[in-house]
Amino acid sequence: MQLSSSLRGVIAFALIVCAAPTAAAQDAEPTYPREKDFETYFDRPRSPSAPNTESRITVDLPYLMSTKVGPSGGATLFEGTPAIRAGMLFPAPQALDFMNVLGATARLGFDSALGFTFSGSGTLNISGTSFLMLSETRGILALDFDLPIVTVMPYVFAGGVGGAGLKSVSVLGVSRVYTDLVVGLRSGVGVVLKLWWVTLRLDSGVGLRNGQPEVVSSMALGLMF
Amino acid sequence: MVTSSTKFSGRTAVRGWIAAMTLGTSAACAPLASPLDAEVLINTAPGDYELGVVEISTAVDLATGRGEDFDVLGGVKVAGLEGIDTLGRRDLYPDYDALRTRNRETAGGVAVAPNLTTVEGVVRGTDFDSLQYLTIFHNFEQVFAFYRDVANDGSEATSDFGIVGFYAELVLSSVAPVPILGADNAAYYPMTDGWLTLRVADIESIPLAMNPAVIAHEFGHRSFMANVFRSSDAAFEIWRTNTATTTPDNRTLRATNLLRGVDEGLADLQAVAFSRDPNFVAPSVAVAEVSQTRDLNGEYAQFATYAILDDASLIASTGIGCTGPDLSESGFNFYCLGTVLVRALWVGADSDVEVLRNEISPAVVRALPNLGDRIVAETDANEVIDFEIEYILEAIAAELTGVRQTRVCDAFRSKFFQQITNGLVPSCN
Repeated sequence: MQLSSSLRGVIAFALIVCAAPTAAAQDAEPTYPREKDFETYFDRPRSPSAPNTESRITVDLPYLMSTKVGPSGGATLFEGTPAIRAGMLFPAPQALDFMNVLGATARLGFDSALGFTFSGSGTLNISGTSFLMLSETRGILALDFDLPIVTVMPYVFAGGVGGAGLKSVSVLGVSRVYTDLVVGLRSGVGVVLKLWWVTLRLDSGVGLRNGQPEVVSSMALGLMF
Repeated sequence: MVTSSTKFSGRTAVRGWIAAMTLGTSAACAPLASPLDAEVLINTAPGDYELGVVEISTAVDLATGRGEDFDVLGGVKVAGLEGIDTLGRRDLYPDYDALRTRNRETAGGVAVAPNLTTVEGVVRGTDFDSLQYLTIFHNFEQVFAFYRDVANDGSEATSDFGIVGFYAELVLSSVAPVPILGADNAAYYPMTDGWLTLRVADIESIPLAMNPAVIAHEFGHRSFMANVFRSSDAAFEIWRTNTATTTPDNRTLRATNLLRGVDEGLADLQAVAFSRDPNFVAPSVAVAEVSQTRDLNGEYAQFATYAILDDASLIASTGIGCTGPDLSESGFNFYCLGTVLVRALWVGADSDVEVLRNEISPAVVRALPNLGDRIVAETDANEVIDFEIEYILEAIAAELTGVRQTRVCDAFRSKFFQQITNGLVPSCN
């Protein structure tokens, strides 16, 4: 992929602006940008004829969000679950070579998340609390656009969610405890932005949880190798 | 032969599994109909609440909120501006039924989806919202029964089908749904002839909709509407004209404030009769001033009179303020007037809840249509409402006889001295 000279100029200017204060603070010689480094970076081979065949490992900390209709039938209930997620993305099999367009590399993979959520509602004397351990495993089909500076990876996902926990209703000191089991399916779309090894990941989709529809989304900060 | 037998067994097993799943699905989708036992929050004694098992007797499907007398609906958004607009459209909505149908359509509503489980034959809500829903359903059942059987209200208030908005909202307009009232309250809205139970936000103890007496109070507004303003076409038109008036003059404002005070007071009376608790609102209202001004045995109720609702000396002696705009101004605290009226009836019942239930409560319901007739008779041809406090005093006193009438008239004399001494309440002469 060849960049126009004007785009190179813009990127170089941006790096100068970003790097200058740090360099000044350290009282070091202004050595950036190094023309040689840029050329090495920009001239790396990236074309459909030479796809990136490396597998990628992802680890991130997502905040899983689910919105569904609550017991009132009208007002929605929001559930936010902090989690840890890991996965792998492999180069897609040859059957998916047709997706390697515009310099993209198709990837197939999976990830798995584990999270815990705690919620409460009600008043001081009459309340409900819920503790839930939630696990989500998804299959992923992604397109890996290895652009200058950043890698952009739009993807689609489909998978399942399961969980178990306890919920209780407490009335003036008397408590009733119930088990809470969750089974569901989810699918949707997302995107990973990768800058060096750091990733920002956003996705959104729909699901069916214990037979009821839900809208799901997540945002995550993580690493990709 | 063995293969054939195996195939047969396999098919049978599959058929059996399908049959079992079908039955299971049918059972899961079958209505959760009465009679049912359910665990709800119950009011065991004045101020005391606990979890208890009750019989739900009028549920058509408890799982979706459908009942014989009312439906509990989710997602109800009552639109204020559209409601006022329908009042002025006599061509489209000529009577109360048409008006109500239109406003219920605008408010919308969907089936509730509580999380219920059955333990040893008892239906339980497995989270706070679902427990609240079950309690609300039970409360409305009890209140319908109270008005029918104890207050002897045979009007449309007890015969017409009602709707209860679970976590409903009062919004400015359906086009611009800016919430006006969204949490920590319960209300009756005459335009939809339905109740709103709002979600919990800052209530510390018993949510208003879980307090059965509060539901009895809100039902009292439906009883007032049905018996006073739906008792005749003329009364309904007066209500319609005055509710649609957005810029009332002082005279109309005074009449409206008086009527609202009477409406609130009589709703409190029925709530006390229902719950046997003269301070029924206290468990649900954190603001002490509010509960103190409505406590029938409280200092405000004892010392306030119609002539002195918010006198400085009264506030100084009771420490309770019921101050605010004058009777002829917008924002008048009509609950204070209501307390003065109900205190008189409470004293007239010898502060005995059984007398209140058996004698005063039915007498008040019987008096309401007469109040409607009096309003019609006193209102001018332009349907600008006219109302004086003696109208309700006379209507109630006329429905009582013997010792009870004497007691109530004595109590009226102490609270409404001028009206009695001036002969404006003939039944007390």
